[in-house]
Amino acid sequence: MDQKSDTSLSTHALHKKRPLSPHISIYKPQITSITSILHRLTGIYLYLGLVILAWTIFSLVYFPNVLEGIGIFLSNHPIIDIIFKITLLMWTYSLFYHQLNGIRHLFWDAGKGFDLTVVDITGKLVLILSVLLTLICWAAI
Amino acid sequence: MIDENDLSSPMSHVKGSGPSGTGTSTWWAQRVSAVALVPLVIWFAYFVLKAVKLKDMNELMSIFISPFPTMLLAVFIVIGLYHGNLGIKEVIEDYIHCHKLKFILIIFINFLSFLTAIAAICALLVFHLSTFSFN
Repeated sequence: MDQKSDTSLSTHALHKKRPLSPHISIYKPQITSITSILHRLTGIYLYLGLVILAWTIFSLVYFPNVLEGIGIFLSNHPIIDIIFKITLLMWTYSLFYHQLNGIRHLFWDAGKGFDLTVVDITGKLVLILSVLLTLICWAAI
Repeated sequence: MIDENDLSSPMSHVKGSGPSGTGTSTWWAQRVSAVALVPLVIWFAYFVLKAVKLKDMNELMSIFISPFPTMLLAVFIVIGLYHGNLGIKEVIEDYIHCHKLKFILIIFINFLSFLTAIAAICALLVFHLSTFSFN
């Protein structure tokens, strides 16, 4: 809530004592902070991709000409086609990263894996495995 | 009884369900959908790898004649949108401090998720049904 408009009770003193969230610009990058920020970014990207996927399926059924047109447009514009493929590659990476780091989060929610060395190892493992799975999938096509 | 080191507001002690007013229900819904998505994402990756190898619409229809890919894809999209909606809402609440904009964005996201889910279900159902007349 906006602090200025908050006149309820005597919360002013409380607000002063409350710890402030770390500011990204002055925060030393660590495995823990990088994996956390990446989890949010990939989450937003996955949501947008899922919305596009759903409307692509919708077009496939109701407006097949539109998809055909996009396909022809991409085959005629190789640079845009490459950009399109990179966004798909990023979505694949996001899917695997969010999946693996999500499992890591679920273990934390169960109260497991909080030890700092374990957090560091699982974080690095997630970063490496997500790249590996993305490459395997794209190599399999 | 006032604990000097307690950082929560007195109102939160009275209501007992935090500033959202709904307690931990959103948190719990996000975890449950996350657990459901773990196997669904594995299936989806397998499905896409299979689907990109298809040559034409007829082959795609021969897959969607079975109810399972149709249902699983619908479930994946709907639960994914639901999970994503909760996540995006959390991001908006964290970073958008303007009250009006926050209000508008959250309603917009809810609307977008809902409409997208309906569109996906309708399209998948129609596609599945169209395969019957195809064979």
